[in-house]
Amino acid sequence: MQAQRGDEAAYRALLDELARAIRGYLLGRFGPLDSLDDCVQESLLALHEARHSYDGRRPFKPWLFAIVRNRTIDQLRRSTRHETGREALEDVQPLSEDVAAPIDTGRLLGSLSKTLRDTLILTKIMGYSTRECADRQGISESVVKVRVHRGLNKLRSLCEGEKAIELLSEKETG
Amino acid sequence: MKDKELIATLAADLKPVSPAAPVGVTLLLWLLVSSLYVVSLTLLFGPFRPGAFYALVYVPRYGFELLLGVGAFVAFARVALAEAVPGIDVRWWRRIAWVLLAGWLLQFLLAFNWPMLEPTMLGKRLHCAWESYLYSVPPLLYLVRLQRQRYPLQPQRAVFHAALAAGLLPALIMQLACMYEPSHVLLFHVLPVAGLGAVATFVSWLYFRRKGR
Repeated sequence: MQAQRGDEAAYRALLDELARAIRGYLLGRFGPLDSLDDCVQESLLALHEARHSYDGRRPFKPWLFAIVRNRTIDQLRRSTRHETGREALEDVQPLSEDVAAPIDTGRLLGSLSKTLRDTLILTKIMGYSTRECADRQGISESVVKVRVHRGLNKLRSLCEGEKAIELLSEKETG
Repeated sequence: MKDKELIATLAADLKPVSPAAPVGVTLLLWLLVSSLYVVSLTLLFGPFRPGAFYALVYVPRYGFELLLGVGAFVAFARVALAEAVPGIDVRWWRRIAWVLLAGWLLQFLLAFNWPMLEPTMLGKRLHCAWESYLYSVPPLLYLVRLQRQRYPLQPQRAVFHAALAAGLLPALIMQLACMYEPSHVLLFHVLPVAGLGAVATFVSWLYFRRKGR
């Protein structure tokens, strides 16, 4: 309730506690996952986005774990797709030179959705503050933060994919 | 980004948020606004069937049939709103809604062999199917808006249930406003509910697919 009222310190303390609780819950339920950190962070983001939907007269745990379960399943599905993609990469036939070209930031950004790309360009390249970016895009600051986090995560996984391609091409040539 | 950094980012400049109103209050609001809207619009394009209210009171099966329909309508609206709040268990409400809907439809099938009212052309409306279909769109959009103000974890399913609730409303009003004949009711008043459910689910599927959620 304090978090809903905008109390930063209480919110930080709550999220700290929840991060530990979520980690423990996921470890207990799924064992040591490769994407455990991603699952915890996705859950924290979802809790942040959903904080207005919590009704103080209802128990907290069902609300919390409904979101955590939902987000974890989404994240695990994404990880499975990513793994499938990685396995498919290993079956790739000899690679052409241009594929192993240095990572091109513009091309990587281009593979993000328009909303994520615009938010990243405004905040990380043009140097707008979260507030300014939110005003410019007509969205809330929370949404900007979530988009930046998602955009960076996506870029990170794209970079990993690029590195995998490079390694494969080095293997082929060497 | 580590947990600590993410938490610091999320907590920085935290703005207060207004907690969403309880499901019961929102449900009442939606029922009231949507019912008033559909009844007014129906009356605008034609009167209620003469004798419909008399039958409602003096033909118990007709009253029971309408009661089942109203029950299904309220239950689906309740499910649609509760599904937008994480952690609310809607399984029982969902079962109740489907049972009531099945009971309502069963009344029409039974009426083929055991008519509860004398089939009549009295009160026939020329475009009742389109009326049933189109009148339900604004209540559906309003209900979806109320859902989006919360946090539906299964948004497509929530939209589907919202479409059933919104579709049932004009179908029920048509029971009083349009001619009474079981095959006409099923074809022109009930079928648009299924149509709206299918269209709304397809549109929400496209929307959430595009949004990547």
